[in-house]
Amino acid sequence: MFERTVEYYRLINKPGEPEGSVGFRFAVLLTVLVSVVAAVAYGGAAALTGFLVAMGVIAGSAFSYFTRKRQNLLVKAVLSVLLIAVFILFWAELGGSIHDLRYPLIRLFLWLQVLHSFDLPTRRDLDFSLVSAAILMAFAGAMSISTDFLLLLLPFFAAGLASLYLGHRSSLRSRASVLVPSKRSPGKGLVLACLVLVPVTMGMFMLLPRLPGFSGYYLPVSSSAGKIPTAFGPLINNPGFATTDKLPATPLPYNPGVYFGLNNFLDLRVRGTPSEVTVMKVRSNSPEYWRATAFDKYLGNGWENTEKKRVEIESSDMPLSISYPGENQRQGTSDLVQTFFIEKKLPNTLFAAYIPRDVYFPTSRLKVDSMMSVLTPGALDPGLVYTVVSELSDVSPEMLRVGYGNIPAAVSDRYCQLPPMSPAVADLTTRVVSGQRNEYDCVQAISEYLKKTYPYDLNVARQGNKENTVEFFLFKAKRGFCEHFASAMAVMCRTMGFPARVAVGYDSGKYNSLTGYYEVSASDAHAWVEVYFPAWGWIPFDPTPGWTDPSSTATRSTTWTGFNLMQNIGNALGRVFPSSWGRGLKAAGLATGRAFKAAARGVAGFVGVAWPAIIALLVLLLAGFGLSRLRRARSPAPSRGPPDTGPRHAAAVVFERMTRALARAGIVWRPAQTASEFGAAVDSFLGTDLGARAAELFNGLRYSAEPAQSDLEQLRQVVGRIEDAAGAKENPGSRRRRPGDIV
Amino acid sequence: MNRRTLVFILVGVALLLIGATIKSGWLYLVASFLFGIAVVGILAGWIAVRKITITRDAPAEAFEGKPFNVSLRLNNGGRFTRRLIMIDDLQFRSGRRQGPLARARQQRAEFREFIRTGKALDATERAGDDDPTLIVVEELPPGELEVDYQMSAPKRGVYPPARLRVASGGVLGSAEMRKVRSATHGMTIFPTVFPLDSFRFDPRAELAATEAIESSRKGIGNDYYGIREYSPGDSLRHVHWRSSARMGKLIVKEYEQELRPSAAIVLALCRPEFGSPSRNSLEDGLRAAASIISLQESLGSLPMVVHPGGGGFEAAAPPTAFGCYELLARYQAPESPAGTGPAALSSSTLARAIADALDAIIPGSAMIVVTNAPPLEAAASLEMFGDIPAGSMVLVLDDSYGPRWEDSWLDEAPWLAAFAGLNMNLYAVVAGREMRRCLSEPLNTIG
Repeated sequence: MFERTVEYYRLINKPGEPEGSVGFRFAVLLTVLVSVVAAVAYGGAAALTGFLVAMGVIAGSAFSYFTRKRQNLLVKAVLSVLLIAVFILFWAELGGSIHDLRYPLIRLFLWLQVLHSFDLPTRRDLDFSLVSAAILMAFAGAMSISTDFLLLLLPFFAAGLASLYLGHRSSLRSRASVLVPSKRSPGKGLVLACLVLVPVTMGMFMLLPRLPGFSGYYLPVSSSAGKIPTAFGPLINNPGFATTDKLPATPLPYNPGVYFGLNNFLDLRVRGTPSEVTVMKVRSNSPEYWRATAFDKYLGNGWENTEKKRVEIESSDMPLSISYPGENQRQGTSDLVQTFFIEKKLPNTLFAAYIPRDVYFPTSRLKVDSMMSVLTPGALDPGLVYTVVSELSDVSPEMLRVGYGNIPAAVSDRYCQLPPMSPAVADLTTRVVSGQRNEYDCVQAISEYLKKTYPYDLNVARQGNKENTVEFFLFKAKRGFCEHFASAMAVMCRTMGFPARVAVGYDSGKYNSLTGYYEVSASDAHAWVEVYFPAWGWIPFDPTPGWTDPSSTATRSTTWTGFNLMQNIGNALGRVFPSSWGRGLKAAGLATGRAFKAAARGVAGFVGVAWPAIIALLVLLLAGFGLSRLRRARSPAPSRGPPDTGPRHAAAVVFERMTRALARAGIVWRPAQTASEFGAAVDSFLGTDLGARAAELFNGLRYSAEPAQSDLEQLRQVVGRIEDAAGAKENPGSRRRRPGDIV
Repeated sequence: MNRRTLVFILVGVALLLIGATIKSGWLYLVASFLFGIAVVGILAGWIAVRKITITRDAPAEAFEGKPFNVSLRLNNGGRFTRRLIMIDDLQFRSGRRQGPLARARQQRAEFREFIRTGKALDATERAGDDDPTLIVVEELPPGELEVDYQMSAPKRGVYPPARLRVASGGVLGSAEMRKVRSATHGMTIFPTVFPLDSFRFDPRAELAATEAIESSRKGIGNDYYGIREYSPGDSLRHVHWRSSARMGKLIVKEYEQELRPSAAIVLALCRPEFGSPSRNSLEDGLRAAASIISLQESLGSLPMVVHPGGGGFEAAAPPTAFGCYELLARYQAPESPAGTGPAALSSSTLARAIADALDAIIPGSAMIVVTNAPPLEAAASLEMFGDIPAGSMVLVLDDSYGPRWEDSWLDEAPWLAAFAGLNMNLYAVVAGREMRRCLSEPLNTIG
């Protein structure tokens, strides 16, 4: 039985015809080679391995072509053994890199390509090669964090399209019973298809929603643990400035490449414009503020972190779980996975969304203070990759409005501290929050007041060395940058008795929809405020005009960020063409993204209310479709002998009807009579020439090679008239009623 | 959508899931590219099959297995050249695509048949029968293009007007858009006619050989009845040249015997148990009947055809051989009285057919019974009439199409004895044996 089963399946699964199109094979080879180059170029394998793989694929493809008509059983057996070996190696490698599967997978696919290229006899095998190349290319893309990948993607698309065309043509040629070949090359059609494909692909790209996916299974981290020192001090070392733990007497010199706030203090007297150089790229489900550190003590012209002793976190295995003794358990949080790819040397602070919990960093030790600022053993060098899982606060404004308990004295003492200041700040704050009944509304009122009242200006006038920055900002300059806004808000909150501190780091950066990464430049350096709420902990607020609160969930939605592609194109066009073009495209892209976001929110709201009706409708539709299919399947097969199969049969039916009518009138078609003789007899009986005409038409329809439909219509008319005449003979004075006669 | 479209969409969705998880925009781009190819394929296919009209010219009648010419006139009414157009000629195919469940069911049935019969090729043959004729036009410029090709019918029958499926997936073939057009008239496919050297219609008569009859026809001038128009299939020997010259068209002589069928051919063929759709005892029985009719027509007469119909059996006397063939083309196995499906042919059913034939034919005429009933049932039915029916019985042995048949069994078949003493010549048609040989060597000659 087993043997027969195997025999049966061998019979029904006979391999197809060997593929003889050299063009198709060459295009597939080219596609595969581009994918191999891309995989190697983005670190999937060493250059030598890549070279060996490419040579293997070329040799394998040539071998497959020359042996395509043979069974190659020995080759298949050897390939099967090698395939098992490759899988064993893959599993072994997988165990060592459980947090990042890309590298083992890419190496697996590279070797699969080599092995598969030795067994490509049919078109189906070549199609598999194309699919495999697309997957390899996708893996290479997953490792690329820059737009350079487009340089490899475009030739891949071109070779892939050529493969598709040549494969399709070859398939049709081999299947055709009759082929009408083309005399011209298909260049025009192919180019037209490609031209249409570009906007369609771009449209698809923008319309595809960026869904959350399965976070947590992909946690890349550098393996350069050896370069990072194991012992380290409690201070932040900013590579752009001299290391000191106190606010200097004179302002720091401005360094446009490194944010001056990434230090042990925040000097509010510094003035300057940051550069646009990219400092890091971040992979994240949602845009957040990449927080580095925070300051608790306001000195009048700057902020300082008074906590010089930090708690050490040590673990030989990843992740390093960040916690601080006595830290309160927070309510209403959700996890966010972020991976940081450092592009420019940064201070030894861990950038992460607040609050970092699990850190995948190439070291076994970290230090953390009570403000959950994490210190690393060394500076963050370019090329460093680390991943952080943060706990984001999901607390809503409604929850914050409800007060739970009192502010602990220790928190109040530390975060409500203020130096001697003019009472004007407190007066202003009292005016701003008048009418507000709870802490959240007061804080929100202060934030909104600052946003609406003071413009953002990087070129604000310098202040005196010892002048109070908040007073200078609120009453003298009346304009400023993010550090001014954050300081003013924190101080105003403190005057009201709300614990507040200033946090610094980087804004989320610009989302590049092509790479899928947030590109953070030096100009994204930012400062904001964290306010303490009993039971909920520290909640971030941003009083700077043009920024929204990082805690606002509306800003976290990235579903329609694909439309940022238009912004990228706009930027590119703006560099080449008049900048208005670029601005127009950028605005259009952002507006479309916003419109889609609003529409999606509307649809989600509708589905939230009407989901039972939608499910019922879907079930009904599916049931109807299934029933109609079932009915069609159960309906009897078309009869082999349908009553009406063309003019030939119809002519016989009409002529027979005529004979019956004539038989009633007394003239019978004798078996010996031909149709013409019968027609002549009918004419002599009726005294017309209709019988001969009917017989002539009948013979023509019945025996000619191609009976004409028009003859059948004529026969019907003639027979109708004969029936009338026969009816008149049968019953003189009466006439056969026809449809359309007036009764 | 075709298989390629499905692959593009599945790979694209997989990349989207991975891209969403690892937040790689490039994966979104590759996925969009794959979706884009599918969309462009659909668009290009839809545009390619628009404004294409087809006229199909083919004969209204043909014999199974014999090639016939088909001419397609394709008219591109659009402004642009269409590329890689596929036209499936579904003349002999249902055209209904099987769903995955139906396909699985069919494969299961084929597998069972393979296990039962050991004939796996039946399945592949069946698939081959269903293969449509595919015409591929790589370039169809605006205007008209004529394509000629040959087809052959796999099986007799009356086929509805041919359906033509025009499809295109653009230049990439990433999807397929189809439109179905219909020809104007159907087609009748007659069973294959095998030339027979001789066949003993009536055991009481001498062996009727073609040569002997041809010479004897010269002496039947007294039976001349009249003249009529020539119709396809008429022997050129019967052309009345003088009348033809006078009337300006071919006129043939009619003979008395032509008008009064001197023999009846009884078709009592039920649905077979073994064999493939085109090779089984029913189809071979009809081919045997067609061959006998052809021989008799060449001898100058046509038999009356008794066939199932109207709940019993009906007799028909078509005026031409093609009329007889048409009856064979339309033949359908008798249904069971309850209408639950094809009935097994019992001796009583067969006897009813013989009785109906006896009522219709001139007493004393020969009767040729073509049946695939079990031999003992056939013998029993003949016994009911004693020696009244005289003629021949063509037994198409259904078992011979099964897995365990050996050719030598025919010579030592125990049922041969049951036919002893009957006034009938017995012929056996078995699978794999040449029809001419089957119908020229009677198993018994009585009389």
